[in-house]
Amino acid sequence: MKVLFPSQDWAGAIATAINNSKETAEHGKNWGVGFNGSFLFEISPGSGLDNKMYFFMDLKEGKASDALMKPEVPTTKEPGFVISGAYGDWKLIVSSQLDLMEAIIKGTFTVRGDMGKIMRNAKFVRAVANLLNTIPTSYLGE
Amino acid sequence: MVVIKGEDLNGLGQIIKMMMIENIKNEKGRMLAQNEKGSLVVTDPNSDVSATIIFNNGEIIIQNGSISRPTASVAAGFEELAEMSSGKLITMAKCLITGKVKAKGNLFKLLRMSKSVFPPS
Repeated sequence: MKVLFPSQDWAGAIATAINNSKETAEHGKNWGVGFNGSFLFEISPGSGLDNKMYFFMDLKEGKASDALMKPEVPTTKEPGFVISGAYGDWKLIVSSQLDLMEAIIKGTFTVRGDMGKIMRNAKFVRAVANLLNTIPTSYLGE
Repeated sequence: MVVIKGEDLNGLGQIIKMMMIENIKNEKGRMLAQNEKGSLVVTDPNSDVSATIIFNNGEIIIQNGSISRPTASVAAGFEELAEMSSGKLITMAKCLITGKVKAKGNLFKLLRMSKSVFPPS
């Protein structure tokens, strides 16, 4: 059964996928240690999405927690990193038609946070990105 | 004092700018950037996106695209840039020797300028 992106079910599904992944456990053991490793993903409207959505997920030592997807910033917790992009581009990322790293380099997505930490943990970030398309997903506007 | 300038940058330029801002927060990084003169072009071959970093003794200008005749240029994807961002000279040299990262120009200056770009871990 497909899970709608964006939805709370999808947020829960990606957190479960991360927590079950050997790759994220291996490459993410230093992630979030001594710094705030949580992410806030901002999804701008368009391509079937009428209003902005926010996906918050805390990531520490390769594990995910507090995965929340809401139409308002879902938590008072300050995110360590913010990644912003349009829904149409997020669809391409989730369906593996666009590489997240390439999209960041092109400027399709903007990142706020200590980029050095992302670069030094690129294998972990890549492992998380690789899990996005493992969830059978349906999309708005299709 | 080190000043980093660069507006309306592409993603690669923004990444470089953010890393350099972090880098100059520590004294070593600041000293390296302060004493550097030259230009470095970084290109991601996967997306064909480039950014140029111009070092002028403490004033650093980051701009989109590549300039003609930079002091050095480097072609590296996200993963390779990430490896180089370990800040270790041996890792950078290894990236160059194995061909993971393609470099042109003054390699000695390239290694020095890279250390100004990538914060040490």
